[in-house]
Amino acid sequence: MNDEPSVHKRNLFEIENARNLNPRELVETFVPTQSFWRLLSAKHHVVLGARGSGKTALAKMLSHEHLAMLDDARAHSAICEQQFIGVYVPTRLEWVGALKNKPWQSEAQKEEFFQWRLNLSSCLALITTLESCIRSYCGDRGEQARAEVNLASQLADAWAADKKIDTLDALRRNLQRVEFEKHKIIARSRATGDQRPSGAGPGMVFDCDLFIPMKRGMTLAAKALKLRPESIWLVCLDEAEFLEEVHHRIINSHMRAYTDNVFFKVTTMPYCHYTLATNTDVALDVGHDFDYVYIDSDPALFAKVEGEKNTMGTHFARTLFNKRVEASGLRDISIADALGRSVLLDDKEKDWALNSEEFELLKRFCSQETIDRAERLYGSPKFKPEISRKLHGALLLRQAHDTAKGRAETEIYSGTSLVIRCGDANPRRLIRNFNGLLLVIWRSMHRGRFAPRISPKDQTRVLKRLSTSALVRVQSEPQCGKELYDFLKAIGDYMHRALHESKLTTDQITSIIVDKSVSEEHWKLVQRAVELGLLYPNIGPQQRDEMPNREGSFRLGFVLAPHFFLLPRKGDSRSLTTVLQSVENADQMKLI
Amino acid sequence: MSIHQVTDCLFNDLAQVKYDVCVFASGYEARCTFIPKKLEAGNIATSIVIGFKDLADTEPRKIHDDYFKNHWKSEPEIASSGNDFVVQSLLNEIVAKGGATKRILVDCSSMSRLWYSGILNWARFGNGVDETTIDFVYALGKYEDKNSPMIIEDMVSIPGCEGGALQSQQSLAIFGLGFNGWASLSVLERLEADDVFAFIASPGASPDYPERVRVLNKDFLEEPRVKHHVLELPLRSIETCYRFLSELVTPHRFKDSITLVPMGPKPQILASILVSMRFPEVSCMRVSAKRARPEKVEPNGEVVAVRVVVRKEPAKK
Repeated sequence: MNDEPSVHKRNLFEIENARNLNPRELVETFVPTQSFWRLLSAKHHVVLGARGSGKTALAKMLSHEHLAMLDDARAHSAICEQQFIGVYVPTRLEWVGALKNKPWQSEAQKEEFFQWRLNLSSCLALITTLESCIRSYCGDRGEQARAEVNLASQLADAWAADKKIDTLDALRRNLQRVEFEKHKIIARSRATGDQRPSGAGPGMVFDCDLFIPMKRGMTLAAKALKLRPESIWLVCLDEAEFLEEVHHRIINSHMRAYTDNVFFKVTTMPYCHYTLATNTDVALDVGHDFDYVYIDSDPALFAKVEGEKNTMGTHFARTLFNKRVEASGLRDISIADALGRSVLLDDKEKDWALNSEEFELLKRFCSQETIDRAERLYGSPKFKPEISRKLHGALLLRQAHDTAKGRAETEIYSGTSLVIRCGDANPRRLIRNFNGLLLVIWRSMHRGRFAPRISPKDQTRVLKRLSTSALVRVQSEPQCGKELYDFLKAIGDYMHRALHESKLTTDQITSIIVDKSVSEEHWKLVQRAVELGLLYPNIGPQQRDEMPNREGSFRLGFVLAPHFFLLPRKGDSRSLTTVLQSVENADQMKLI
Repeated sequence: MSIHQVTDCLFNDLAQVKYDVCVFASGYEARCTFIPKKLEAGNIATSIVIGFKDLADTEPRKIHDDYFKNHWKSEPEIASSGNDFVVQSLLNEIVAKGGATKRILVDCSSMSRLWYSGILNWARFGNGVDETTIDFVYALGKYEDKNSPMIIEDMVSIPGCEGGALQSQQSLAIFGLGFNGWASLSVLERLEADDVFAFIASPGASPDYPERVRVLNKDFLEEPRVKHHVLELPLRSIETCYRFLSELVTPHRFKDSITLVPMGPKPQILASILVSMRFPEVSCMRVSAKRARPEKVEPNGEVVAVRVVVRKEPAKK
C-alpha cells in the first residue's frame, strides 16, 4: 500500500467538495445518479440538496467541458451529436457578497445590478463552454485556432469589448476588467457623496434583461461553430441558496417565459427556492414550468450491490470510495478490508439461541411485552424479521453504553456498513468519514506499523469526533445557530433517553413528526436542519421530489448517531410536541 | 495602485503630529476612549465621532458619548456598523467647508471595519487631494477567557474589496483566525475553497493568545483542505502582516479566485483590507455576527499604529 499518494495525483480523500476538483478529477470520481440523467433534458429544473449532497458536482458535470470527458454512452451521444451544451455558472458566496454589500440600493437598483453582474458572469461562463465546444467540434488545431479568432472577435463586438480581441482568453480578461471598473465607479460615486449611485458606466451592454448577452453569444457561437440548430443549451446556475428572493423571482421569470432552446438547471438547498413568483402576474407552476429534483432522495444513493450476500454498505458509497482510491493513485485499499463488518448493522450468520447472550440482553433491557413476544415467536420464521433483526443493534448499543459509563471509549461504531450509514448518502460526509479513517492508517504507517485494518476503537473515535463536530458547528449558523443547536440537541437527547433509559421495544425512535400546529419558529428550525442534512424528510418513492410543508416525518441525520449514542437505522417516530415537552419536563426536573 | 505605502509607526511619535481630521468611534467598549484621552485636542483641526447604532442606551455607551461631547466637542453621529456612508459624508462636509483633509488619524480600536474601510475608499476615490496620509491606531485589549458563540448574521464583501468576476477557476481562501472557531468553520463550509491558508496573531495581545486561538480553532485547523502550516503574523506590526499577506496572494493573482476572511484582531483585518485594495482581484469578506451579550474589552495599555499613504485612483475617461 502507498503511504502517500503519488506525486502526480492529489489525495482526493482530502477534497470533499466538487468545486475543489479539477475537471479530470471530478469526471474520474463522479458517480452518475438517476437525478443526473434526469437533468440532462430539455426541461427547467430546480435541484434541491442538503449541504454536501453533490449539487455542484451535478451542475458541473452537466457543463460541456466536463460531460465531454465522461466515459458513458449517453454522455458521448449528448456531446458528439450536440444534443446538449451545458454552461456552468457559479453564484458563489463571494460573488453574492459583492451584491449584498450595497444596502443603499433601491429594489430597482438591486435588480439592475444583479442582472448586470449575472449577465457578465454568464458570458464569462459561456466563454469556458465555447472553448470546450471548439475543442470538440472544430477539427485540428489549425481549424480550432481559426474558429477561436473568428468567434472571439464576433463576441467582442457583441459584448462591446475591445475590437482587437482575437482569443477567448483575452475576451475573458477584458470582461473581468469591466467588472473591476464597475465596482470602482460605484465606490467613487459613493465616496463623492452620491448615496444611491446608479452604477452606470462600463459594460453598458450588460445593462439589459437577464441572459440577453449570453443568448446573443450562443447564437453567434452556433453560427460560427456550425452547431446543430436543435442543440439544447443547459444553463446550470449553481449555489442559488446564496441569492435573495428578488433574484430568484427574476430567474423564475425566465423559466416561466418561452426560452427557445435554453433551459435552466438551478441548484439550491431544500427550502431555499425562496419563491415561485415571477416578474409577471403568473407564478411558476411546479410540474408544468419546471420540476424539482430532490437529490437527497435519489434511489441510486441507497441501492445495495446487486447479487451480493450480506452486502456491506450501499453501491453508491462503495463506488465513491473505489473511484477516489483509483483517482488518488492509492493502491490496495479496500473499504471492507479497512473497516470490516459492523456488529451493529450487519446480519449475523446464525440466529439467536434461547440461552445466547443476545437473549439474555433482551430479557435485561426489553419490556415484558417484547420479551413475551420474543419467546412466543422463537423458533418460527417470524423471529428473525420481527425480533432479532430489529433488536440486535439496539441491544448491543444499550449494552455498550452501559459498559462505557465511566470509561472513555467504546468500539461499537465501526464497520463498513456503519461508516457508510453515518454518511447519510451525502458525498461530502462520506468522504469526510473515509478521510478521517484513512488518516488513521496513514498515521500508523508513518509510525512504522503496517495496519490495513482500522481498529473498531479507532473507527468509533473518528466517527464520534465527526459526529460531535457536525452538531457543534451548527451553533454559528447564520441567524439561528444557537436555537438550531438546542433544537437538534433536544431531539437527539430525547431519542437517547428513549433508547438507553427505558425498556426497549422492537422499534427505536429515530424520527420526529411535524404537524400543522408547529410554530413558525420550530418549522424554520426544521427547514434549516433539512438544509444542513441534519434532518431528512421521510418521503415515499412516489413523491420523492416534494419537500414536506409544515407537515411530515423527519429522521435525525445518521451522522449524529455516534454523538447521541443512537442506532443509525430508520425506526419509529414521535411528535415534535411530545419531544419538546419531554425536554421541558426534564429541565424542570433538573431545577427541582 | 491606490495603497501606496504601509509603514508601522510608534504611537508616541504620533501624539505630537498635527492632524487635519481625527475619526473616533463611540461604543460599548471602554477602550473606545483610551486613545482619545492620550491625544492633544490642540493638534487636531477637526474631529469626527461616529456612534454605534446598537447598544446606544447602555450605561458605558452614555459615558463614552458624554466624554466625546465634553472633551472633543463632538456629538456622535449615529451609524449602523454596516454603513460606510456616514463617515464618508462627514469627510465630504469638511471638504465642502474648505477644511483640509490631507492628514487623518483614525482610532479603529472599537470601530466597525466598514467605517475604516469607508475612510480608505474615500481617500481612494473621494478626497480632493491626490495623496492622503492616514494614521490608524488601535488599542490592544484584554479579552475574557470565555467567549459566547458567535452567530453569523451575514457574509458580504467589504465595499471596495469585491474582487474579480468569479469563474470556475481554483479558489483560495485566507482566513484570519480569532476566538470564534465555529464561526470560521461555518464560513469555510460556505466558501468551499480549494485551498485554505490560515493566519493567527502571534505574538498576540497576550502571551497565551496564539495557543488559545489554536485550541478554539482546532476543528477548523483539522479540516483536510486547510494547509497545515498556520501563518503566525505579529499583531503589533500591520506592515509585516500586510507584506506577508501580499506575498501570499501574489503567485495566485490572475489564476485563482482569492478571498480574504479576516476574523481575528482588527490590525489584521486592516491589513487584509489593505491587501484587497492593493490587488483588485482579491476580495475581502466581512462576517457580521451577533453575540448573546456584548463583550467587555478593556485596553491593556498598548497601542499599535500604522501609517497608510493612499493615492487617489484616477477616474477612467
